[in-house]
Amino acid sequence: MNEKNMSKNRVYNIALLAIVIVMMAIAHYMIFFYAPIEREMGIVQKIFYYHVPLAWNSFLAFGVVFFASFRYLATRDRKWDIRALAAAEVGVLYTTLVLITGPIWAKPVWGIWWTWDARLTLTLVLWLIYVAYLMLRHYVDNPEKRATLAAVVGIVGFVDVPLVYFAIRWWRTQHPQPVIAGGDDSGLDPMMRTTLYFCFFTFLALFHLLYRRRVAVEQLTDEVEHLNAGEAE
Amino acid sequence: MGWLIAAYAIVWAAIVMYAFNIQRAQNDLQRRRRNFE
Repeated sequence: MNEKNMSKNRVYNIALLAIVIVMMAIAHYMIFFYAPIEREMGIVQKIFYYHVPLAWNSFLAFGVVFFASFRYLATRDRKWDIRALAAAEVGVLYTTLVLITGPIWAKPVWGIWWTWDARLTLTLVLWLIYVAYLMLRHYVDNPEKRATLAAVVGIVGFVDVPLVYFAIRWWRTQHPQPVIAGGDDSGLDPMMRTTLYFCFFTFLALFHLLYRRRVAVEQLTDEVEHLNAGEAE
Repeated sequence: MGWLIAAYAIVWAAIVMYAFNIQRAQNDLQRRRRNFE
């Protein structure tokens, strides 16, 4: 990367970080002062504004893995492999947080931390698939073989995403029924809905920031490895 | 309120740790690249 591009990149990253900080501040103002307190669950319901946006963004992240893996298999271009890896890592981070915030919300509301219902179990399976994806990348030494195997797992693993999404629509679950796009009987207070959407875009901006930084690190790793190999010859 | 604080604190601890980890890796790689110059 030349000097001009590097400085452009730096400016973009700083601007993105500033946007994320401002959006986070607005999101927390909306969570605590704009969105009403839910009548039955009380203040603990506000975990919802982290839990749901993190889950939606993790689906998106695994969608990026799916797309980038396809592109890698079609083009064999390393840049797609790097993009898939970066999206998978942030996706696993977000899913881990979904799996942590969910039980913390469930305990005071349901009285239990966890139950093996379809939505919860499939989310755990989703997390395991992408943890396996990251582990696989560590265990295969040959870069081309590693990228190809990872791309296959990245594509096949995505099958679980629609299953997680539709689990609460297809089966009766302990997990609450959908409040967005859930049919006539469902719905959300307009102020809660606005806050939820804003939090979604805030975590999306954060995803974009983390993803870009992770891609940059992987590109730098390639560069250093290339220099190392040159030195060894 | 305790549950909410716990959930938010864990989320932020994990995100900040991940971001710091990326930054540390980047600093280390940049230092290694400079050694070649």
